[in-house]
Amino acid sequence: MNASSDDRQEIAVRSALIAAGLRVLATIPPGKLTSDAVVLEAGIDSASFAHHFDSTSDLLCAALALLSDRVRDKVTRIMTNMPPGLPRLQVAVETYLEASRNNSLLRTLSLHLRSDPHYVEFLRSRVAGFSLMMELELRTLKHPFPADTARLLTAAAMEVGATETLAGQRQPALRDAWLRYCETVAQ
Amino acid sequence: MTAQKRRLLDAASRLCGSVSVHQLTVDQLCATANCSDSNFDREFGSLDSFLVELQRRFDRQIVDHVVAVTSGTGPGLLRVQLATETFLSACLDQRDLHGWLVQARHRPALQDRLRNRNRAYALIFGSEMSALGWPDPAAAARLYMAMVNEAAVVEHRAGRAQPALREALWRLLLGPIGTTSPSTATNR
Repeated sequence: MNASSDDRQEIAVRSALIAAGLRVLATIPPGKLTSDAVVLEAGIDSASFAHHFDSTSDLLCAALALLSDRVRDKVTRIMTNMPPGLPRLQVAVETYLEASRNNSLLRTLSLHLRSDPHYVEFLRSRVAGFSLMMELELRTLKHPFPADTARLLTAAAMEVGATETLAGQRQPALRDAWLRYCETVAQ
Repeated sequence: MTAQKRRLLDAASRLCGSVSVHQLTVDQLCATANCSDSNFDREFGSLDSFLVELQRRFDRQIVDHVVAVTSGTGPGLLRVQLATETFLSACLDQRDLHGWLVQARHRPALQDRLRNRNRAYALIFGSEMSALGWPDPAAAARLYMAMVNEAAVVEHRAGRAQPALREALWRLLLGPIGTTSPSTATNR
């Protein structure tokens, strides 16, 4: 019982630090973020920061994960209200791309962390989750190679997302091409 | 290319099977190539520049091979398949070196190099996609390149060709042609 309470306390402190980090990041670029600024904003002692994060990069990755989770949750909510199939898959990717594009902090953090090994690992796990979601949709379509095709389509979707992140704007031609690739799976 | 530069790049092929690219040092390269640190600095300046040059040479060798294999084949599905198969097989043939370059991919210098490379490949593949009937061949080619690179990484991890993955690739490629079976589709 006590351990569980301690765990909750740990999670609350970590969440408070991430939330404080996000508030500070709304005012300064990620490269200028310091642990001092975060603990000051959170009203938590600096030892707690060191306990929860190895570095400011570690906190930035956690902040990016949180923002990314919000996008994923939005996609999931929309998908829940649609029947399985190709349109749902297409809406999911469009929603993901739009939400990613419209969140300037998400974009800034993605660009800032793109060479960070923690971020690369984080991205790999998210891509795997995305691919699995796509595979399940392809299975409902009775596609002969659901896992392989999902993997390839996910790579293509990530290319669209990465290009839009770098360009800072929608890439309609790439989105259309992705949708066309998607349509081939229903043929 | 100077002899020393070639020796240093060749040293990568000898080291890649036993050393992780994350642990690679200039000293290891120089010792393997029998060169001094100052030679390395003069030829490359940094490990990042070395890796970019290594990637460039790796790409150039594969492109030469792809061009040789596909020469005489008309634009269209068969040529794209042939080029893709050749690319994927070449990556597997040099699996350790390819693995190094995949591991180093998150370095900004490599990212820039790969982005430029993929853009160039997409331009070449654009004419092929056009022959296949894709309405925006450049965009389709760019995403196709992303999928081929993903296939190369999957096959690298598996250590061998993945026929189902390649079949999935052909099916996606056939988009505008429609329901034609990939294995029986004629060269368009």
